[in-house]
Amino acid sequence: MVILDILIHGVGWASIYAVIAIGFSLIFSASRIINLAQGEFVMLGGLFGFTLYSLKIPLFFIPPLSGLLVAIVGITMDKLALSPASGASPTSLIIITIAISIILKSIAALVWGPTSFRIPGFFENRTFMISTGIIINPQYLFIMVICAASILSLTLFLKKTKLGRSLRACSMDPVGARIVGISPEKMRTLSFATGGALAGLIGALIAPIFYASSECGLNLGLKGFCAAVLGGMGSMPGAIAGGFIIGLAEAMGASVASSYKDVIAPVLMIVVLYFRPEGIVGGRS
Amino acid sequence: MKKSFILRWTFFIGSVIVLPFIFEHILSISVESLLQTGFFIMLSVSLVLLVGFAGQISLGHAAFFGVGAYTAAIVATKLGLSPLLSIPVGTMVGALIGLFVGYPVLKLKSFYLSLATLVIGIAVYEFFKAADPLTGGEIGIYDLPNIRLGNLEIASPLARYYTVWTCALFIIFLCDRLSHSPFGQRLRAIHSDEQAAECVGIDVFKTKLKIFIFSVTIAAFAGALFAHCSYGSIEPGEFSVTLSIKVITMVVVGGMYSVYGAVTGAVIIGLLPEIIRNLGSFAAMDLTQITHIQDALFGVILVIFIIFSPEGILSQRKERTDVTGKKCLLSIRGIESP
Repeated sequence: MVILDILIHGVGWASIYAVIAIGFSLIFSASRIINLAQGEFVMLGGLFGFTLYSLKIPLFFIPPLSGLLVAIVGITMDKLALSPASGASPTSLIIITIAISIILKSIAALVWGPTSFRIPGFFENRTFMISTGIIINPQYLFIMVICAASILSLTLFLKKTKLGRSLRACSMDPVGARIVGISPEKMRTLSFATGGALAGLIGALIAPIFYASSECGLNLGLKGFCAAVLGGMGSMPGAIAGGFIIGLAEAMGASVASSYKDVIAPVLMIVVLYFRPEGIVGGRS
Repeated sequence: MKKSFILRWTFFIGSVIVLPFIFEHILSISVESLLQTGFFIMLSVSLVLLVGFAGQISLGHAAFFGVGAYTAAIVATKLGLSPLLSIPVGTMVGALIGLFVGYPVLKLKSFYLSLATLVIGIAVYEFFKAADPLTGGEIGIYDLPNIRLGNLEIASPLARYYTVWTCALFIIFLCDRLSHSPFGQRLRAIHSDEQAAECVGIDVFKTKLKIFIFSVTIAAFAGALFAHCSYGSIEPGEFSVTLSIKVITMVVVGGMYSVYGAVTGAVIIGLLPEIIRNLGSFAAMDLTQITHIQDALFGVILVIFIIFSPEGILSQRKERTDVTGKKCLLSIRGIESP
């Protein structure tokens, strides 16, 4: 019965990590930038969600609205810090995104303070028991559904719409994309907006189970990032696979030694990075 | 060359002697606030060899600083060894872990290396927080013994300041000599072009591993010294990724390509906040708020420097004489003829 418990919470967190990882992958494939501020985007999503909640916005509108707000943050970050630095080495760009994550975290700590906030879930106080001892919070199931839906709609966007196809063209070959009239700069901004929106959405969604605070970004970002690297940077199926591996490994690890839970993801990532730097799914080097 | 060397070191030693008096009597800031800068100097100087000279980025330097500090602290408190023994033990454990980490990690290229070191930094930090019986968890380890030389106990702030800064000066000297040695030339060659370096007979991987272990060992030594010669306690928060990024900021601000640049960066990043904090208008603010404002400023400074001046304040784009005595330009990509 413990196994069922691990499975449900594991899959819940796995889908969360998968969506965060997709944010990383999307930005990386469109711009070759590893955006380490992605975790801070998730954190901002949760905190914006709380502010919207305290403004008495209906619960149903909070996740999409936080997504929109964080997308604006993503666009601002791209315009202010990353487009002036275009052409810098990959490592410099990584350092810039870390610097931005520190800036966002400090600003969040100044605005919202050190406290943790919780938004009530959609199905508040309606936890149900499958059998004795196993209590399931329906928010987990809800998160799984929304994650699946957002992955599906993102796939449709990338495959079926003109904008999505331009984004993919740009990730395959920026020069070639420019020749046929697609601006890689615009696609980079678009990828930051989409990545930000995904992170904001997921941040507001997990606030009922995770408590949003200015400190929570690093950890969430790290897990999502490890998932993205594990699966193969820039590959969507890879990000999903990576998210599931980390989510389930963590749920299992937590039932054995809960205090070492946060060490599992980085260790898994380093092992995979050493044997297969291109990731489990990724084929491109 | 010889003359400028003597002049430079007279200036260094002189300012190290005078600095605490300026701080205490003119700016009325306690000497303790200078301690941290001494450790910053050791960290940034060790990192500049790795990043600026060998071109291998490490975003997890704080982890090795932490390993040194925690090992020394655990050895001193749990086994009751004197700091004179626990500091070398901490340094050696740091070097060993550097070997184990460096061997797989340095095979990675470009940004995979920075990511791996970053993640190692986070993993080590999480380990400090999680391994409660050993590391004291979130609270850390306190009541650490001071260094004792015979009957002399290094306890007063001024004594601790001189110990730390003497070590810092020694490390600056060591790294400066190393950067001018044939080994330093090999590092620059690797930075300029790994394949070309391989072609002229440099064992690239071995050289990278050597400099990584050297750099990490200095960081671990600084950490071990930090455990015994700073505030008498350590906690995991001091060894988080923020510190690694701060050290990177120092290297970027001061100049990626010289040891003295790293020193300048460390002094600027270390001392400015202390001076600003003691200015009247900030004194009324909450301490945590000041910390957040400082962190945000570090981020802004880092972004601005990477965008506008990636070579730092002490940029080395100037004329120098190379090994053969010819004038040449030392630039980002190593040595170019003018």
